[in-house]
Amino acid sequence: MSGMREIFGKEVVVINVGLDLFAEELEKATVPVQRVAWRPPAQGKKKVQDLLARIKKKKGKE
Amino acid sequence: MPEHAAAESGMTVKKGLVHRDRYYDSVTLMRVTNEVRSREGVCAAVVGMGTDFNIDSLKRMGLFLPEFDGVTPNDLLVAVEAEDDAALETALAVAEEEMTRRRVISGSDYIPPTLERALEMNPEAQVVLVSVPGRYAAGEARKALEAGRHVMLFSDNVSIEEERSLKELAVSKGLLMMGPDCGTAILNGVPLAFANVVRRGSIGVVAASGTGLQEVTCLIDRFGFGISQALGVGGRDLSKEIGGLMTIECVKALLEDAATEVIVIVSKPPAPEAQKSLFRELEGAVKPIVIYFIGADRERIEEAGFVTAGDLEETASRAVEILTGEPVGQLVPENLAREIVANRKLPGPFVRGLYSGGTFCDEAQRKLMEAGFDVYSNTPAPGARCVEDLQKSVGHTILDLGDDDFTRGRAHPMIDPAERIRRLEVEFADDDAGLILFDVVLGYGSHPDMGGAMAAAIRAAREKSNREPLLFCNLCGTESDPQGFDKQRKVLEEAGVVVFPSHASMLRTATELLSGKNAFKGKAADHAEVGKE
Repeated sequence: MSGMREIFGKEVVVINVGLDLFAEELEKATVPVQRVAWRPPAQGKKKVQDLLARIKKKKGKE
Repeated sequence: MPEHAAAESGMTVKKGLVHRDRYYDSVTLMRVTNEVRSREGVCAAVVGMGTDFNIDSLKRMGLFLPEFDGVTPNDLLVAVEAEDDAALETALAVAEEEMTRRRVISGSDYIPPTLERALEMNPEAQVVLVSVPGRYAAGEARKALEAGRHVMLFSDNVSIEEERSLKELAVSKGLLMMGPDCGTAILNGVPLAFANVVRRGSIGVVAASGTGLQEVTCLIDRFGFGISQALGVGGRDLSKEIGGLMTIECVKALLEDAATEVIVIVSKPPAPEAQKSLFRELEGAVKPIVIYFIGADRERIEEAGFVTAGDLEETASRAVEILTGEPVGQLVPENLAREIVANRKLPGPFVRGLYSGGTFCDEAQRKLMEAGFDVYSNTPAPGARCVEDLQKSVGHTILDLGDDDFTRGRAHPMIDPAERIRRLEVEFADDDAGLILFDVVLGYGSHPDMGGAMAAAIRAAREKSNREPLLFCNLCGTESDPQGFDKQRKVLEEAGVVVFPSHASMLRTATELLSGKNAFKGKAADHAEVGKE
């Protein structure tokens, strides 16, 4: 049996990460929504992000 | 916050502000930019993050000011060029006010800064809607799946390897992984991202096509029936690499769902391996399944025991026919299509398609080619040719303005009409353009008044060009959508647009017009050899 259908028929509660427009629209439709004040990690600097990703990967292997 | 005095530049003044470490998403910034640009006396304005793309744009516009040196993608830049100091200061104040207001709308409650924190705070939330920039998107989706939540991944630019890995994880946990590049879904009646307000009912839809899903659900609603669930899976789900992983799981879930009586599947033609897996999994399905693989061989689908259709409208009507046992007629019957075109003459030989929906663009190309026309596009369907110059239409050109070609650094044309309005002016001015096709997609997520924006642009273009190309619009939406179907239809009709309730009916009428006795009889200004084969 698909576990997926367990959500069918239940009240949908959403976490919105990204475009604020979608959270606004869900609120207009009176759907419970949690916004996330997301921003790019490591101040959006690619080199720092890559470094953090490598450290995380290394930690995962340990 | 460094602030610099306005610098005189010819007849205008410019000023730039940098807000260090202040982040807004791209759509919010586009809306603030448009608000600032609309103010009197403002010549140009950019409100954006300090990304390489935005810095290049500022340089091209002559708006890269010394204070922007050394900014990072986490810094917010405001650049304004205005006719005088007063207009400049007003514009900057408007930018600040709009950004503050949008932050206030976000509520006074604590907003978690990370998804991890939001997941901890909201154990009852079952769905995470992810629309962060592509390079961060898979990471956020994975966090949600690992925490046992269903995911709708709106973002694109996610690698196919990452997609496969996310979908495998979702399947192993019995979770939905809708996307990447999934623009629409209706879950338990809740419209997610771009979706319409449709009746609840017993037809379940699984679609690898955003506007395909919107059109089919809206037409089912128009026929008086409703949707149990409408699940998007992302455009690549039935590719060789993904193998239909999520389509199969979603259909299986709908087969077990007591509220679903009929299932509809919409996608581009699948890879042969993916189609084989799908058909094998669905063999002996206890519920009727309607399949529309756009442009695929219908016989092979029928041979496998499924109901099929030749367009999105027929897909919706087939599903309804199964429920009622009664035939559903075409929304615009052929005799009415003939009547619509009877007294209309094309002022130029070619059709130009200015679409916001990718599936509509694809379907239009295929139907025109089926009718014997050569077609050009930025996203050519098999058999169509690629336009050499994106900025210039040639022959019958059908454009997907929602494709990356046109959306780099801009919001999608369902949200922001600016690029389509610009192109509309170009097509009006082209003596070769006889018929302009476009779509207006209503619903949550979409522009609050796209009909009005297009109507105003049409009037302006008509006046400027002194030409009258015919205008056909597929209005995709329902009366219950926030914009209201009838209200939008009226606004467009008042601007001289022929509005169709389905894409298929618009294309039937367009091909009738292009092939019939009212087709353009003169000589094309350019490319006289291009046209019907």
